[in-house]
Amino acid sequence: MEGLKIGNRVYSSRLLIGSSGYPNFNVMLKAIEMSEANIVTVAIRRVKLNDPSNENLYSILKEKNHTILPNTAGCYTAKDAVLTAQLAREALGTDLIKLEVIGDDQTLFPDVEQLIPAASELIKDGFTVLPYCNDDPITCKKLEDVGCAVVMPLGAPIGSGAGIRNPYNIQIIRDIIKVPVIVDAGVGTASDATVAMELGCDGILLNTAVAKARNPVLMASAMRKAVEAGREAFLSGRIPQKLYATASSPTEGLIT
Amino acid sequence: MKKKNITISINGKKQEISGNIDLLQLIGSLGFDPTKPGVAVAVNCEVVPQKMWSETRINPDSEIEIIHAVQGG
Repeated sequence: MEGLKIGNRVYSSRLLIGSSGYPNFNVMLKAIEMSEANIVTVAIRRVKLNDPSNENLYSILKEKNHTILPNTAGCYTAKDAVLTAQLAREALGTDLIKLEVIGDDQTLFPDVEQLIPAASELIKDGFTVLPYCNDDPITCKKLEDVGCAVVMPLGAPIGSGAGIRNPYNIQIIRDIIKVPVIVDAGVGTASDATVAMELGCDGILLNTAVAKARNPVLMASAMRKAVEAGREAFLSGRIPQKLYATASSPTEGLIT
Repeated sequence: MKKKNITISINGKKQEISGNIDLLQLIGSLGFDPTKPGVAVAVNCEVVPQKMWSETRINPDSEIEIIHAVQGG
């Protein structure tokens, strides 16, 4: 199957996976491997001083040949998000950034007023920007217009597992946006990922649905298949939905 | 001539350090291997590339942020 193009790179997997919230490090690594995701997200945080046990997530993920996608999670202003992105680029040697500018800690919805100028500034600074945004076609269009490599509308609030709450908007976004559309946040189970892919989305970014599943490694496998199934169904062209039945067996030659 | 100690902020915590050291020495004094990958530093909201650490003097009241990647979504 054709790959997912982000900026000037092509990835074989359309599933992007987070590295947070797993029962332990080993389960995280196994789940990521099972998902076959190329891109793994990480957060950027202050180093704990005088703590020699600081794990080196960067080296571990690099060793496994993953593309590391740092995020700006926890940033509430464009200024903080831009500095976090610049620090991430320096620390991790990547120009990729999952841009999050959060508006409120209960909903974790994006603050669009901060997000668009932050995206614009980072793009001018040479970043490949993947913005986490509302499922609002106009916001997505503005993000595309300032030069974002993809747009990443939420399906539902981060960590809610509520699925694709507004499939109509996701479909409109897919129709009017030329760059890849990746649903980021809200996926709770495999069918949610499939729904988004069947709507024509180019990829899925998820974390909690796998990390907090009772069996994260098995759920990672389910998500991989769900994304692939949804993509193939979209490319196949589904039949139109009708209210009444259409017989699938021949109506000629009946014995009555 | 020995310089006086200065107060700076490291990752949001005020600390007193010798006024005579550069950023490379400061990072080293915090128990970091400066060659370890995956760490970045900003001084007063400006990223300082690793190769510039030895040339970066620490001024009083500097705000230093030292970050790395952690598990995230």
